[in-house]
Amino acid sequence: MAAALGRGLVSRQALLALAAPVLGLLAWHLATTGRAYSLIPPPWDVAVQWWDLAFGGVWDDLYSATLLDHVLASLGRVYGGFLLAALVAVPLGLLIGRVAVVRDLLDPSLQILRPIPVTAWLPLAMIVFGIGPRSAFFLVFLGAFYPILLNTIFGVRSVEARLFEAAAMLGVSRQATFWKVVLPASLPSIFTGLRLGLGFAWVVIVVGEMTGVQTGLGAIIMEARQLSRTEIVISGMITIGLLGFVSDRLIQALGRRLLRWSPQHG
Amino acid sequence: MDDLAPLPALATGTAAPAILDIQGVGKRFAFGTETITALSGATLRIPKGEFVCLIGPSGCGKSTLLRMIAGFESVSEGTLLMAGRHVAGPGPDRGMVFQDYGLFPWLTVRQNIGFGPAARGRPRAEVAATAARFLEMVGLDRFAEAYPHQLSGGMKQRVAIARVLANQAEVVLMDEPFGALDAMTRENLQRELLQIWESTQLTVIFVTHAIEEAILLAGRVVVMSPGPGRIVADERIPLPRPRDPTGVEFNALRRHLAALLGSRH
Ligand SMILES: Nc1ncnc2c1ncn2[C@@H]1O[C@H](COP(=O)(O)OP(=O)(O)OP(=O)(O)O)[C@@H](O)[C@H]1O
Ligand SMILES: [Mg+2]
Repeated sequence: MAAALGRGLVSRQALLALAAPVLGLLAWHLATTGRAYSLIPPPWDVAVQWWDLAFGGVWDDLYSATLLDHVLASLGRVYGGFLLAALVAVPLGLLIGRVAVVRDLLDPSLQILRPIPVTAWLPLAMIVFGIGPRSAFFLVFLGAFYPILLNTIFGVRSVEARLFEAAAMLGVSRQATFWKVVLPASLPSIFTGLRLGLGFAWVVIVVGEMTGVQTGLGAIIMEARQLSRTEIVISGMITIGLLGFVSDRLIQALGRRLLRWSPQHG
Repeated sequence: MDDLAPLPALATGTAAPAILDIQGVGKRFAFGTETITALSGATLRIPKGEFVCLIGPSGCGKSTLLRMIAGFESVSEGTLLMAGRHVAGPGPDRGMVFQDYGLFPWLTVRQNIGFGPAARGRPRAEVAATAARFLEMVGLDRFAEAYPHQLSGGMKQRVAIARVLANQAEVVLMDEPFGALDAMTRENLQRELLQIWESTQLTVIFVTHAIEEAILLAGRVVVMSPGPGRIVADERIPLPRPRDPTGVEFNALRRHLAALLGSRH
């Protein structure tokens, strides 16, 4: 009974979630199909192109069956940059949040660098890291860095004073407070930061791959644009959207597992 | 009847050594450029095993006194001795039960109760046995693996009490612990607290706004008054337990304490 109800709920949700894309697709179809001079290709052409990109067998050109290579290249940069950002931003955020000296030392500088859009770093990144995948990697790192850092700091700063008192009266030493209270209490915020950071990583990857990179979703989007192969551009966009969506779902599922205790995540 | 001078601790069993010895203790807070005297000249000797209630109007320094005993606040004047030693900070000998529970949300009920022993490095098996024992004492076996956000207020407060007991606190400090609970839950917890107190050697210092709660629970009621906060009376409650709130003596005490409270503002 409860299971049936649950399934009903899920399918209702899925139905609602599909409504907007279906309507959008319909509008797109009506606006483009059968018009000789449409600059935007109709959905069906894009679907065929996507299929060829993924599996080949339709056009058999330079792009056929290359999607996996591009996806893997982008995935590597997104997750590599993201993991590196997490590795730096989480400990740094914990330190800034917890140690006044570190906060006074670093916080002002980080706050000045923060408003600079990631894209504005591109020219500098290309000078420092050269034209190529390393710049893309750096931009992804930068894009993921701030959401993780700021949320970690926020998490540490907003641990309830009551919990420190509770730990102290139960006999936790000052040094142990960090592991026993600060870290677990700020995990939900850290997690929110990771989720936002991963989202940004996917946003930034296209910009990062736009110059001087041979493979990657951003790279084929740029290349196809120059060749006016708009079906490929849209195929690449859709692929990024789907990958970003799946990766967000994965990290959310991980959060639900690890943070069962938190009313926001559990 | 209106003699408000603190009583000497005569009926206390004069030989009993005080577990808490509070001598002329005061607290001043800096408030902007001003100084607020939250408490001044508080003197109180509390023998081991006593159940003391602190009552008084809002702002009279009840929480401040309790937090100084807990070691959360420094002492501005006077001396505060716990088992003969100066209180220099929080410690597991003095457990605190907060009105807002202060449970660790990332730990299950069982882990919350075992937190103190685990944090102090007791062996795993001992921690597990202690947690199980106090889980049972507060009747939460069925909720052992639940997280705090899945519990009612009364259940959370049971966990908070159990975690302090599991940590072998000698003095339990309670700051309006049942203030946020509904009447029925409060009555149950009052009864359970008394049972626990009677079956252990615990010393309890219990802050409350409610005269009736104080008379129901305490062996001794300390009445405080604001502006600046101080102790104005120290009354024994000579009634046998369990006490009947509708009884004649109970009501006489209630009037007496109300007069003590009312006469100061
Ligand atoms: N951290 C603080 N800084 C400044 N003033 C404080 C601080 N804590 C308490 N006070 C002041 O000390 C006085 C006593 O406060 P306290 O919290 O001890 O009162 P209380 O008797 O517990 O009141 P209530 O019944 O409302 O809980 C109040 O005037 C309060 O404003
Ligand atoms: Mg108070």
